[in-house]
Amino acid sequence: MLYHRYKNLWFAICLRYNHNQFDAEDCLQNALVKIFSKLGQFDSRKGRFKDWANRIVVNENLLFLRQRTKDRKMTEGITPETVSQPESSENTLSPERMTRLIQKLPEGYRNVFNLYVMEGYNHKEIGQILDISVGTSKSQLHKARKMLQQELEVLL
Amino acid sequence: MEENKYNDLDKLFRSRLKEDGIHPEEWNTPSDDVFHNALSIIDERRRKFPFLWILLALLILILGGVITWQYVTLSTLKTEIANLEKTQDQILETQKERTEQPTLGNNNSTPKRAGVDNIEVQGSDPETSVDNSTALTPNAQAVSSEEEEAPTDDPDNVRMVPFKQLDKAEVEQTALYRSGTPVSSLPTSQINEFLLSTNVAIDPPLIITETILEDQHFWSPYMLWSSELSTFTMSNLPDAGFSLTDYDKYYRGMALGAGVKQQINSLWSIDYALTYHKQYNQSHYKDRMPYDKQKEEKLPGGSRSYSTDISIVSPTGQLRENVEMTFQNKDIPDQAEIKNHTIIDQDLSTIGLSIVPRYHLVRALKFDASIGLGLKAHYILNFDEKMAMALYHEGEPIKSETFRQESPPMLNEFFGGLYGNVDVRYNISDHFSLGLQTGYYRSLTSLKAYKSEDKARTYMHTLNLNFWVAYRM
Repeated sequence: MLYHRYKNLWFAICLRYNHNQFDAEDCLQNALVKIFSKLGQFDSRKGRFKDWANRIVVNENLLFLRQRTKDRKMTEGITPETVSQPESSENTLSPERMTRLIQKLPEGYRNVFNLYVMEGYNHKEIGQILDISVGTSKSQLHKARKMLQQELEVLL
Repeated sequence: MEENKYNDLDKLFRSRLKEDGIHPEEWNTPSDDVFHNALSIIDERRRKFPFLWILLALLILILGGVITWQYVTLSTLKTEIANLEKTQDQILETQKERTEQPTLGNNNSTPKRAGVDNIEVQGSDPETSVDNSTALTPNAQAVSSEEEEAPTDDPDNVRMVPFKQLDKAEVEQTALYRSGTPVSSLPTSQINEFLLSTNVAIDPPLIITETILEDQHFWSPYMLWSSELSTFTMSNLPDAGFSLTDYDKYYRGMALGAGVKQQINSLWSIDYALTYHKQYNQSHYKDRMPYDKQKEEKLPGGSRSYSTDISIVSPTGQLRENVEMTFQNKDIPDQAEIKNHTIIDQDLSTIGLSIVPRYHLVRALKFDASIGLGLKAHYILNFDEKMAMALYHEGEPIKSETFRQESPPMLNEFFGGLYGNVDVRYNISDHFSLGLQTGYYRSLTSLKAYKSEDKARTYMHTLNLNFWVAYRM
């Protein structure tokens, strides 16, 4: 079944874009509704299903984050709740550990890092997607990489 | 520089977090609720649809009934039209003979215009006065010879003068006003024409579509060969009466269209389209209206003149033709009717723009159903219309003259309005689709008239049903 085949991959993407599991599950739920509603639009001649679906999942995450930013502006002063995840003592560079490193990044850095490094967008495209300047995108990527580098050095 | 510096870092994250690095583990396994919640949301959306499906089914059923009814009545109409055309030829021949023999002309000979108009003054029983055009053929020549022999003061003879000749200023006014009459003289400033029409169109496999992101761009040159017929029209024009039949004999031409379907989200999209249409059409109208004694004028010698406006529906609005008839000692019953059979040849070319937001009820691999409501506007590049009428009395031609009049040249202008439809398409294969579309078009026939308070506004309400076949590259 489609869902069981891809759920871990899709959820891993959602976890990369969100601070905590609950938000990631909300995002995944929205993405599932969209994927199953739009199945008829998928054209196998134009690409792989996995790429098509992953793109929907990423878009849903970005939509969710935009909405959350809006809500946050409306309730300014309230610090967003972040759930600290228990550190795994297993493999220090496991996907789980690395996902958590990304989750720790401030939201802006995290989005730029995910879009640039993981999804392969360029700065111009990221600027359009996130509604920020190319300069901001570059600067946030630099800071994200720097923070991750420091975290990795500590881990290793 | 920085790219190189962090290349290893990027690679590390990619390798660990891309598909190959992701294996089912507790940390990346969502709870089962996620899947079930998503399914329930989708189910909830689907549950909204049955009502709309029932509505669509009813609509198709009604329109299917109308089509059947139209085709049943069509055969009779076709016979009438065939006879009328034969009569037209015979009358034209008689006219030619008479022109060649000027001594046999009568006092009412006037500049001749080709055409066939069928105006009939009938007795009080409307049922017996409905279908008389079938009787025209055998009588046409008989009446013309009778006319040649009959004295002009024959009490049973009814004579007609040609249609009122409009000068240039009047022509422009007619075109602008669309009804030929300033609205101040009408009891209503808004004219509504109700048409029921059906179209069957086959699009050859020339539609090209391209999907960029989620938006679909399409370019669709296609030839139109459709049959449109309407058996019912109704208008609130004061003396237009109502049409018994309105039959478009053929409806052919070509159209070029290009547009984009913009995907807003999974439920909404917007269709933008630019089209060029060129079409030829021949319409047949049969109207009837009461004979109004107040419009009679007594003339010296006991004869009377009767003048009335005949309302003609055209793609660009309502035209009115003034018709005058002279009766010599003819006793017209109180409840007489005038019947009119008109043939109109039209040549219309337009460019059009439509913007139709669309709500998708179902969107699946094989099947798509949507409701659209938007605006359409057409700019008339060229319009030419030729009308043909004839006059009959008690089922017989009363004048062996025929008329043909070119319609007033239309002023270039816009027409358009609100357009809504229900569109269902089924992809029978990767390349072929079948479609069914029921639509309603409420169009204002002249935007100039809409802006001006002293001009009649004519709205046309059209219901249609289209079937189509399309090919996707």
